[in-house]
Amino acid sequence: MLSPKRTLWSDVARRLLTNRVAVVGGVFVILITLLALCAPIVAPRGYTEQDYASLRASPSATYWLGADAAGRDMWARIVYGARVSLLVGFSSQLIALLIGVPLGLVAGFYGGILDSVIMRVVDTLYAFPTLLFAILLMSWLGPGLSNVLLALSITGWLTICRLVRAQALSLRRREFIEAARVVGVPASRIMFAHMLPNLLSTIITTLTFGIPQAILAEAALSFIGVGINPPTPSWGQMVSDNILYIRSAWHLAVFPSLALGLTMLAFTSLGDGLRDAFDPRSLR
Amino acid sequence: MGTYLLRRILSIIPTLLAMTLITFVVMHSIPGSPFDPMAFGGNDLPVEVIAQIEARYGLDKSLPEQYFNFVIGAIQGDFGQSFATKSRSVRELLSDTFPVSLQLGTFAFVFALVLGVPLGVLAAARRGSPIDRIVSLVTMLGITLPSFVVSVLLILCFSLFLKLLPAASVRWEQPQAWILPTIALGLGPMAIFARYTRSGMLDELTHDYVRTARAKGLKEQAVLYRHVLKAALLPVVTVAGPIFAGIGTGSFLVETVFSVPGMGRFFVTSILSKDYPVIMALVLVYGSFLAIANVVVDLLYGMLDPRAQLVEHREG
Repeated sequence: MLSPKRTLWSDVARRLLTNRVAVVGGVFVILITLLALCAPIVAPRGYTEQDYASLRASPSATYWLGADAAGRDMWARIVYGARVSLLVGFSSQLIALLIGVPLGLVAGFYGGILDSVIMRVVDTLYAFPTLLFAILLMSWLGPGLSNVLLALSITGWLTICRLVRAQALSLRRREFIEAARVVGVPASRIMFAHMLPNLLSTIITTLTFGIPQAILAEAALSFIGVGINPPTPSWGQMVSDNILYIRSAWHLAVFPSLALGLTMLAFTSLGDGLRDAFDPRSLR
Repeated sequence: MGTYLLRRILSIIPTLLAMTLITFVVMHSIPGSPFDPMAFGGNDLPVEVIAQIEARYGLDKSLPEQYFNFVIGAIQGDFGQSFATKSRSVRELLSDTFPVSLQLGTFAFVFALVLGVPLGVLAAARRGSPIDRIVSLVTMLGITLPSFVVSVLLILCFSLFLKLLPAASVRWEQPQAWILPTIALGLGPMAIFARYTRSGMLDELTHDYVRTARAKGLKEQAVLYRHVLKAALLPVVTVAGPIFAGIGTGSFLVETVFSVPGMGRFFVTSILSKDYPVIMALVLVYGSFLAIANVVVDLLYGMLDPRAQLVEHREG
């Protein structure tokens, strides 16, 4: 049944693996995910434990990345902060997938009034500055991880919905879809079994680029104080707390900034690599 | 064209109304009155006094009435009194902070354009060279790194290690306070301009007219700068509009890191202190700036490229 022939997926994997930047990005993503999963093992000190003898300590053998103004281990806070960032990044895209893809498919496949209604909602929400909207919602909902996810998800599905709809519209007129209709394949099966596989590359690439966007949005919300609830560490909140001490202990603001920057870089280069691997014509 | 313009301008109105309505509903359903004596940092005032203060700010009226009053006032440019800064009207506060943000946004935009386009040209002209690779690294970093991460790194480098520039830009009247926030805000857009210019140039270079120009013995410089660049800038102009709409009013992240006395930092403090009139006004200012800028971009693009059809998308 399984043939060793070239498939779309083997081609994509082969092209992805020859892209050095994307491989480095991917390895970093795997690494940081492992760190976040194993946080209690790699950072046994925990993120709340205070050491009053080491307030704003510089990096040392005990505190690899120093200790913050409350004497808490920065390494532990960064590793636990990765949990928040990755959780927001992955789950927001999962929600975008579950809302945006079915709605986009339905809008593109059926067209007509259904399409108009869905796209009207999408366009209205699209006109809102995303971050502004999320800040407003957060000040209403109150801080917390689930509220951050909710605030980001309300606008998070729009992009993928638009893209899926546009592609579904053009797929609808292709012969193989028409053929499926003619022989009486039910609509839901046409959408999910015939159209969806053709949309996978768009969906995977869009979601991969969506992850760093969501991570950034969470960091921005926490940075201005309406995101994650302290003492749970979030990179954005760590930057805003520690920027006060940038003169006396610069590493406190710089390490979480670097963690955020590198993580976003890794996801973006992985996304770039995936896009090129799916569509070799886009290689420039 | 005329009806299109009119329709496009009229379409801003429902967007703005929706934006203010949502803001209004959200702001008023946040638990706790801004004058709640039990709130953190609240004053222990008698109930009658609180009722009096609320009446003073119109908070005793029904919610639809309050919203109606806000819209009528906003049309006349009157956004009421700030709760937090008691003696000043929102309009005064806005006229202090908006110019600062607009200045920062404009500087960042100019910085991005002036640096980004030449970088893109350079990279395209020397495709595959070390210069091209450096430019693509810089654009990758610029597009990916969030502005406040860039801000922190800039402070570290230029304020703490080199001691060249101030880490905080509280004193906005000093020009050296402008530099770091401008770079922090402009780096991302610069990268986008560079990337679009480069790929636009490379795209144009494959056209037949380039071969003709070369065949008639035109110098490579002339081909690049007199023919190709002009055509390659069209996609750059297309992204320039939304970018200006996005950063023209500054950024609350960059403004907060550098303590720039602009609208963004003001917005953040207002959110935290539940200063409804200020929040409503700022949402309206941000929203209308974005909406108007987008319409202007559409129109400009229609003038620049006669091929662009000024019709709303229907399908696909």
